[in-house]
Amino acid sequence: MTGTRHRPELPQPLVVGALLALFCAYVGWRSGDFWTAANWQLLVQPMAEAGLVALGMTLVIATGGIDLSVGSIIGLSAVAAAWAAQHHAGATGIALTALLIGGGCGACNGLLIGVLGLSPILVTLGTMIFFGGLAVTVSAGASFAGFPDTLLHLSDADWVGVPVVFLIFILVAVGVYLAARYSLWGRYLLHQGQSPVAARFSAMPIRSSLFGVYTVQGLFCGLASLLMVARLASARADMGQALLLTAIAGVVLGGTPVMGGAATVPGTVIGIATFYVVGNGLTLLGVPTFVQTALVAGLLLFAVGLANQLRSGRTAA
Amino acid sequence: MTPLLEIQQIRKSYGAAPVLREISFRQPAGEVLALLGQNGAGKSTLIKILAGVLPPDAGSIRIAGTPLEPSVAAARAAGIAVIYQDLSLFPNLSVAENIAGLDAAGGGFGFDPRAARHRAQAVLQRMGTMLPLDQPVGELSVAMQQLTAIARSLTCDARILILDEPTASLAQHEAERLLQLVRALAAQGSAVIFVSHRMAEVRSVADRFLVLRDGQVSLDAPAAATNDAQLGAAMFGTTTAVASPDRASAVTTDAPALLRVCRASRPGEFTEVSFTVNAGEVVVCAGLVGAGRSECAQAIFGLRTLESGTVEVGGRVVAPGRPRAALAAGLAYVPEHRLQEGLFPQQSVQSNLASAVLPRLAAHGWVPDMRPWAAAQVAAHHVRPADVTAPLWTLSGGNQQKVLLAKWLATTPKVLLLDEPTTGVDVAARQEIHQRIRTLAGEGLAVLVISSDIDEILELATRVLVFRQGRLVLDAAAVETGREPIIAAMTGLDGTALEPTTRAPALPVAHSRPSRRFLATYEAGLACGLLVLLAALAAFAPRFFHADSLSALLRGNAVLFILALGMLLVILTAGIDVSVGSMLAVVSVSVARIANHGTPPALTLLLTLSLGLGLGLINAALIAELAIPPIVATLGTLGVYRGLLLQWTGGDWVTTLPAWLSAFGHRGPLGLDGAVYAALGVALLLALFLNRTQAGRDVFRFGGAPLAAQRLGISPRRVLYTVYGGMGLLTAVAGLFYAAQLGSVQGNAAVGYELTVISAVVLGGANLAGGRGTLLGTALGVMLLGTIQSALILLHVPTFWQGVATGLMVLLGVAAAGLRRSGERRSSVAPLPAASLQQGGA
Repeated sequence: MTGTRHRPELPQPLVVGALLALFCAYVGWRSGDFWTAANWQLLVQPMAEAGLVALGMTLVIATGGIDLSVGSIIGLSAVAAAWAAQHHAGATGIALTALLIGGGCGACNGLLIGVLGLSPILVTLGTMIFFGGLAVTVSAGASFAGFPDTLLHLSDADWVGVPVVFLIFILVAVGVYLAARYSLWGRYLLHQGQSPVAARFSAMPIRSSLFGVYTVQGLFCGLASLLMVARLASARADMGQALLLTAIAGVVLGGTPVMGGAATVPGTVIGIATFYVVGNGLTLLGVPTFVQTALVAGLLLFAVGLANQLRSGRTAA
Repeated sequence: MTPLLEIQQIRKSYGAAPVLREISFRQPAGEVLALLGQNGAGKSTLIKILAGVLPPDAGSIRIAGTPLEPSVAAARAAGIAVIYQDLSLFPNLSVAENIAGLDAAGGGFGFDPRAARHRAQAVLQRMGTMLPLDQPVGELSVAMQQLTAIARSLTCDARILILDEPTASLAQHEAERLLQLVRALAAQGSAVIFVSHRMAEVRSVADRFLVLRDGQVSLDAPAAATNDAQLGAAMFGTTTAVASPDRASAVTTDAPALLRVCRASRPGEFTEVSFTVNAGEVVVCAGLVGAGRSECAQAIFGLRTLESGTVEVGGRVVAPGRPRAALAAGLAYVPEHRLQEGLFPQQSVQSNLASAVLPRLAAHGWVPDMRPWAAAQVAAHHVRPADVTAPLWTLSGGNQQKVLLAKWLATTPKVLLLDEPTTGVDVAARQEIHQRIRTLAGEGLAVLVISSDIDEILELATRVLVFRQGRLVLDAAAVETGREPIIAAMTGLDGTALEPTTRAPALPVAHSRPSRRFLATYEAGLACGLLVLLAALAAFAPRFFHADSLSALLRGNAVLFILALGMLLVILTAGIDVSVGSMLAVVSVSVARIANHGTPPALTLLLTLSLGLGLGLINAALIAELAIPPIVATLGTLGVYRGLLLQWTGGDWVTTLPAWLSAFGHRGPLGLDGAVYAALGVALLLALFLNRTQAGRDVFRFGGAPLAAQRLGISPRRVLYTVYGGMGLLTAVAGLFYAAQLGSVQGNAAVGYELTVISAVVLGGANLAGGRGTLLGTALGVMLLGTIQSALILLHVPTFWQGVATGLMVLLGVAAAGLRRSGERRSSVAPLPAASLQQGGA
């Protein structure tokens, strides 16, 4: 009935990567500041924060779900970190608090979605408002700035010249890549994303796998909130809100299908890098911030649209 | 005389692979033509070409001498109606609307539910059947859905009726009634093309046989002049008679009972079922569709939880409701629907083979390279092609079935449960599967096969279990019992009536009464929640009921309501629009700036509405033309619209508005705001659009079953442009009042507002999967969110808590909707009301 040719690998990460390389070459030619260590050190810090969220989101989207509450979890973790700092908890104590709260929030999502079987988009819409509300309530809407220097040092620390923040991002990326591709858990997640019914009929442990993926996403948000606190030297309830859309856009730009069933971790890394490198380059070229927003969003539409056209062109041929 | 249907030299290839090579035939009116052939012979492609879904590469189709354009609309207009195996019905819509909805106004613009109901009733009377007209089709049994599909094709005066395996999921007596109907329709002058794998049926109904093999006509002859051998030769290319099976050797009576089911019950599905299957036995579970066999098998495997009773494997009780416990105990359940339940079509063959044994293949949680293992499996089960990395969907149906069986045999089960293992496979593959089942039993497995095919039952079974209406009514040796008594037990025509309590209810009349339905709905729950909240407010904050605070509540939520109505439209098509906040900012800033230029009011309004519509249409174009998923497309335009707006305004505030525009935000009659009247007007118009126009019903049709909608000639493009354009237009209306109410606007207005809008619609009970949602629910959702916020303010709760309260509200709504859904699932599997089919003769 149907042809026997294999579906080609998604060309999307390649398209995006090629566009990114061209862009880098162009900016490097036009601006001498682009290829400097100082510029890249500034660039990778916010990129690593968004990148961690996007890596978690890659796994979540691969299961056919979505997590809208990431921004609120980051806010709540940061506020919790501030609370720990106020109680003189020390850098380790603060870090543990942020991770614990992040993981806890993720586990709540996991419980409602994985164990009770409620719809991911609805649950995380609710917890987004709920966690966000909690963060605002606990912090009374104020920002906090009394973090110890040992924690703030995280943002400018480096290891043989490579920023530690970037190393954390890359290590997590490798971990997520291996988990998605070779671990039993990763297989379960992808099967669930492809066909929830068939996964259930195959006696796969879906509930615990889903619980795990949302908990991991919460942990990554906790970690991202720490990096953010270290970079900005302050914590606020709404500090993570912008990352939700950036993270989803990064995942999609990287070629992971929004409907689930596949995960392209290297694509996500390229996708997130694109957002921050292009933003940085446009700033160096003197393009106003507002136009940058529009251009980067336009790039998302262009890349996804182009990849769609390439794919349908190939199947029609 | 020109024949009704004439096909000349039709050719079709997918890529380089020819599927049809020069098909020609003619069919006069009043003839039943049986279209036969193995899987992959080209039957489906031919049907799709006749239906206008696929254009042929070459050749022509003539209907009563007139050439037919290759389009769905042209085929429908020419009187061709196709009833696909999946029926292409709209599960979210009523029976009456499914039958007569599209043509209620003669294919015109309007939709009149009462006229549709009358037409549906008339058609059903002509067919001699009764169906519950007001019940959603999704709640009916397959047999009743089949009748609905046929009734629908009759309303559009189909002259050529194409039935694709109409009896595949019907029980014997249901199938017989369908065949009677087919003959009656042919006698009335229709031409019927009938596709089936059941040879006895084909023999009894067809006037002529048309057999396809490898995309060519291998036989075209009158039924009376063709014998079975000729037919077999035409289909398979050889004249070898079907080998008579050698039955599994008689089972020794002392073989151990591997599977023992004891008094298993699940309300509405099966009652007090007890039986055993011994090692080496092939027990076939017979019965009509809906008799509770699949449900029982799934409960044995833990996919459904037993309410009472036990399952033992090899003498040990299996924990109920846990598929993994069942798997560990040595059970394996091979489901009937291989592509939906059994396999992962997009994944590779090796991935599918391993999907039930992953923990066994893995070491310390990591999965090694499984290519060698999978290659061995493929070789052992003769899967073609032998490429383990090929995606599963590229395999033929028979080979998919082999992969499915191999996947479950890899778990080395002791007890194998096979649910309709030969549906949709050709005769050769069927023989192969039967042989395999006998071999497995010979190796000492206990095998339970579910089958509705009486020939298969007699061919395979050492013992037969017959289910009727959820009860096990016969447990006996198959061959000794014989054909007639088994059929009698299946249908209940043997006089052994079950006691009245277990009889399936007649038509579930309660369902069709609107008042009863409303009480059970989510909207009613919402309304109750709102009432409780209002009562609490009356007790603790009587100030709330002051006219001023009530009108402030309405005023404060009118804009949200208008946007929520637009979002409802989008969500009904299973889409989403997250660019609403950005669009609202663009529109409200633009209207203020344009008005401040001294532009006349009428022109300003026109420009604003066009702007909103334009932004919505851009979203629609991205989704419809570039096939970008809605969430991604609108995520992109969210950034683009906002970025361009901020670049244009530079973040400046517009703080003064001309008097005529500010007046939009003033009190009108009854002390209510202009925005409130606008919201009511919009709601009224939208209600008319959704309920009384074909375009509005198309939104529900497309949202409920996109593929079915497309097959009926509903253009997805048009629906998408309508809803996203409508969302843009409504955002423009909302933006006018937004600017007027606030009095000053800026480029950063309404950031994140889209999530409030979506929350309100979701809280109102709309289903994000599309097809379901009401205006009333949306209104209640908005009211509930608004009332909570006012209440918190009146009760002097710090504003910070609003997020917490709103979040909890949404979570509660989600949980309630989740519970409702699982409740629905339980009620929708009630035993099929067979009575409805027996009412009225043909």
